[in-house]
Amino acid sequence: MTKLQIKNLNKSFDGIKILNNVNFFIDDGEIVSLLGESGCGKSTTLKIIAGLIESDSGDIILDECSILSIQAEKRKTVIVFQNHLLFPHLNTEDNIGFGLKMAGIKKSIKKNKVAEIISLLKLQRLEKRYPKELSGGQRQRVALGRALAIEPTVLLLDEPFSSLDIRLREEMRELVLDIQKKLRITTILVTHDKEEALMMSDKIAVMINGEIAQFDTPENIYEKPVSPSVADFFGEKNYIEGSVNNGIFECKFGSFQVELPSEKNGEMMIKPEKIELLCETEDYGMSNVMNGVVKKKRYLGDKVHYIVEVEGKEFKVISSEHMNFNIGEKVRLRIDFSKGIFYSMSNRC
Amino acid sequence: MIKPSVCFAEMYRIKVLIWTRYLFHRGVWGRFMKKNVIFNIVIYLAVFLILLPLTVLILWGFSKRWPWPYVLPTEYSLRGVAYFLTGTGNSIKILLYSIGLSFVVTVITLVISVPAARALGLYEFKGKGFFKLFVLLPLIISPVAVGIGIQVFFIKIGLANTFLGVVVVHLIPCLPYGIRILTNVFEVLGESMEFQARTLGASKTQTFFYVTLPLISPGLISAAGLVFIVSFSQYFLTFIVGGGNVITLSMVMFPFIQSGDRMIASCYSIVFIVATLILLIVIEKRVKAYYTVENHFYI
Repeated sequence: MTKLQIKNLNKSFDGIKILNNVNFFIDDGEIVSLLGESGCGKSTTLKIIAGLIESDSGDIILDECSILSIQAEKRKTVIVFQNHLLFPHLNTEDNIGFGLKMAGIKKSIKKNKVAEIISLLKLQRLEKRYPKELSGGQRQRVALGRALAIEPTVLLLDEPFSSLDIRLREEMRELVLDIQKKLRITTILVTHDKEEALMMSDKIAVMINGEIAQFDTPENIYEKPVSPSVADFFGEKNYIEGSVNNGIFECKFGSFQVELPSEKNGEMMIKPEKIELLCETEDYGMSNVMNGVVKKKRYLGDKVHYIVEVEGKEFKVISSEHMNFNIGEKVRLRIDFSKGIFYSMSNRC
Repeated sequence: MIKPSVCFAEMYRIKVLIWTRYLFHRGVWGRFMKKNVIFNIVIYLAVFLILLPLTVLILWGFSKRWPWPYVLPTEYSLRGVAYFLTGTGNSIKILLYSIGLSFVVTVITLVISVPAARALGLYEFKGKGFFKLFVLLPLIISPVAVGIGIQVFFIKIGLANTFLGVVVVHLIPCLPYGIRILTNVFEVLGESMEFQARTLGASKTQTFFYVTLPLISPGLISAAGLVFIVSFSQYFLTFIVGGGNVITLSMVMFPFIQSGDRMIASCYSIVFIVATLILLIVIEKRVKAYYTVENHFYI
């Protein structure tokens, strides 16, 4: 059941169009990531949903009712910001209980709820501390607790983990995911980190230049990105120019069998992890094998990134095999072109 | 024949040289020349330059005779104190009245300044730059120049020679300070805290009282202190608009300063300074006690 629907949001600041017909929806209890580069309008979208900024046009529908006319404090859509914004003059308990106090909840009920949140987020023994006495991770947990305490209808997270170091970030992601699944809170997570988006969301809305380029499950978006821009979001990809005729992809490296409709001119996108590197010495006798030379190598522990040059074109290859190729070594690349995605020249946004 | 003075000078020079090299080797020279020492010297000098006149003032308050070459007064007397406490001046009453007047002025100034500063600090609107300068106008144009004209107007509307009239007129020199200080405070604070509070369900009023006010309280304290002093020290404006009906401590003090009765003038001055200090401390303690944590503004 659709909980929240964002329809045709438009917003301009000082004549510059920030949001251009933004459309997506979230089902009850789901978590959707709004993925995009910094400054592309993601935070603006969140603020419009929360009611802090007004959109120029469009609608926001919560539970089948438009909430545009409802004031921010009555919408029950809480934002957790990147810089936690804890109230410095209140201690942990009071920060978490702030929303409840504003709503006029009885003290006894408030106390219980605050205690519940504190144990959920493992903040015991920190109740009386002030924000400046807490570490970064603790502050972020308090900010999260403060948002959860009022049992919001929609939880809006604006890059909440960016200011944390990697270990903490992974812990917090797991924590948020667990809590979100347990409490079934509809959540929108704004991020510029592709891993975070892929790992945490039920659906991803990729925002490029103020528009939603693709809105789908993580698997679909990763396997079948709708355009090169979306594809590039998830890592550098390889593009080979050519055309498709009657199921055959023709390019300067040869002709390969593919199952794609005919297209005049375009690019074939091949993911780096789908390219197999083989030793030069063995004789494979297969048709879709090319010869190349390793130009660059980056060792990442569980993977190795290579740049391999084939007839003047550089291919990025990610290999998890234990084969170790050195710079300058001659290798063979096996590409399964049927796994590639073909973009026509007109589809270049 | 070597002159003794030259000999001494040489010896002295050699001594200094030897000592300097000694210090150098002990690493003391470097430490001596560090910033800390110079900084300390400057601080002590500044404090001394403030305390010295104060000490002189206090001495004047109690000195009957203090002729020129003497460093301290030759005769002391409590005439000034006696006059202040019992004299025809009703000084204690006037003191309390002045404090009350300035207090009222401070409160009204802050009540006006906070929304004005919030608008200037947080919103963007046409003519904002103009308003920011406009607010500072009373600091450029002497209130005295305006005071006489205002008194004429007040006579017409019946505010002349009244407490209320003087309060209103004190607002003129006080508001620029209040608005200026609080505008800066709001600019630094920003809107994000208020945004956060509102998404958590706080109405605009609740946000103001539970979030904004605590966060600007250090600025409020500074502004309150400064505004109080400005109002408390007003002489001419009170004189013109008060017209003799409204008597503040500054007004009572002035004739003594003019006519040269140093002892009484100094006693009044001491009372002035002490009253201001006590009030500042009281304001600061009260507000801080209510909002606990110090430096909570600086996250």
